[in-house]
Amino acid sequence: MNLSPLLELDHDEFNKAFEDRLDSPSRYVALETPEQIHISLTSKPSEIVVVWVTFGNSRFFSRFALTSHPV
Amino acid sequence: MVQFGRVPDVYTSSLSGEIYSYDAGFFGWDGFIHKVRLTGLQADSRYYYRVGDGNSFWSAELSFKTAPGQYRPGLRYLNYGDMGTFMPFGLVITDAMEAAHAQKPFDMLIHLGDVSYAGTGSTREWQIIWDIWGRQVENLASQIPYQLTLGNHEKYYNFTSYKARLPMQGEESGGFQNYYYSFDYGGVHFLQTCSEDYAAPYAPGSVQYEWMRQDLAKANANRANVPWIVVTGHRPMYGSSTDGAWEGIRAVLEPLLLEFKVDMFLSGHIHAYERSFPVYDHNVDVQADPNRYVNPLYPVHVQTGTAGAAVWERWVRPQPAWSAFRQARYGFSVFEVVNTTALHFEFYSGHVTSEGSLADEFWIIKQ
Repeated sequence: MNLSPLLELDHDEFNKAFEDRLDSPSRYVALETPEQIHISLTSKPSEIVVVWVTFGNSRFFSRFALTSHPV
Repeated sequence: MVQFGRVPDVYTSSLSGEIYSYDAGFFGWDGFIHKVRLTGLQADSRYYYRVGDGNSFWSAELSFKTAPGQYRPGLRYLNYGDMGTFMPFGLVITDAMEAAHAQKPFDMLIHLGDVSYAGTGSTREWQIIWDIWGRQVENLASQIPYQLTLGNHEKYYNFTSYKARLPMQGEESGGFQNYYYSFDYGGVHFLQTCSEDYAAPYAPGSVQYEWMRQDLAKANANRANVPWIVVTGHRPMYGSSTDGAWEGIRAVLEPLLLEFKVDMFLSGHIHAYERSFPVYDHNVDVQADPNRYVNPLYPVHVQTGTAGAAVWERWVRPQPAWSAFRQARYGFSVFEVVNTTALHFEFYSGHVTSEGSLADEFWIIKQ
């Protein structure tokens, strides 16, 4: 595996790579679209817990602004 | 709602669960958390699934494999602590782990505490950081079970965000929420301790201590079915950083590890990697091969606090006798239960001027 491509970027390049990542089309989706999906175990092998996040329509603009400009 | 089935794009079952939210931190948080327990699954089987509102909005199709339900060799366990997002390298290490998973899949993941670093200062969090972190790990976390160990950076608002976003099934093992709990996966019994005394006291006589004792006794009596025992805690009890180790935890927990023949203790907190020889009370079980522990008398301690939060190199010199290998570089660990008598551990690391590579490996052999 190769850890170097992003690690070797200078500060401006790193920031641009990060913003490109956030600005990818998949980030601009309806607020009901599931994201941050993860699974976890229970005590039984016959079970899995699935957890995800949606944002609905509340505080639409504040959330979008924060998502687009996290820093 | 979750739709799922055994064949891609064919969903034979669907289940719904609960929806909840919380509000904390700068600007609050305006999201909704959806939690669904899938039941009636076959053990050791792959399922394809998607999540959504049951109508118009669905995720892409994802898949997971259920737990084996009994001992099975060859399972690989990814583990790391102290990740964060973009300050500086959480997303980079995540990319590296995804690449490693694509080459040779992991079966389960343990995050050894200090998750998103959403906290700023001593009292407040930015919830947007939790969201960025959730997106960052989604590719892995939606495919393999993501099990949490509580760290000090989850402390804000009495662990509100951590409890809401990353629920674990602590009560099912007699533990407490996602603070401390245990479970079996393949050939390993995992016991996740809470090393934050202010959140869950661990001194003898405490609820957590008595639970740990009972849980380890039960696991040690079940070796024929589950041959390995791994205990985790965010703070290390052995560490040769100048920031030290947690003697209070060692005084309480180490006798339990010895009594119940725990094989390995995993931790983070210190932003570096360090692996011990088999050790108890700072006495080393000297091995002929420093990377091959044959019939170790004591547990092995490994800290991997290197998954993205700023790594520091502040070692005590000379290196203590119990310390087998230490390195201050970003990276992650993975161990494989090769069979009932052999466990293989690896640490992969990279640096700003070099490619990631295998930096350390060792074996535990029980003959």
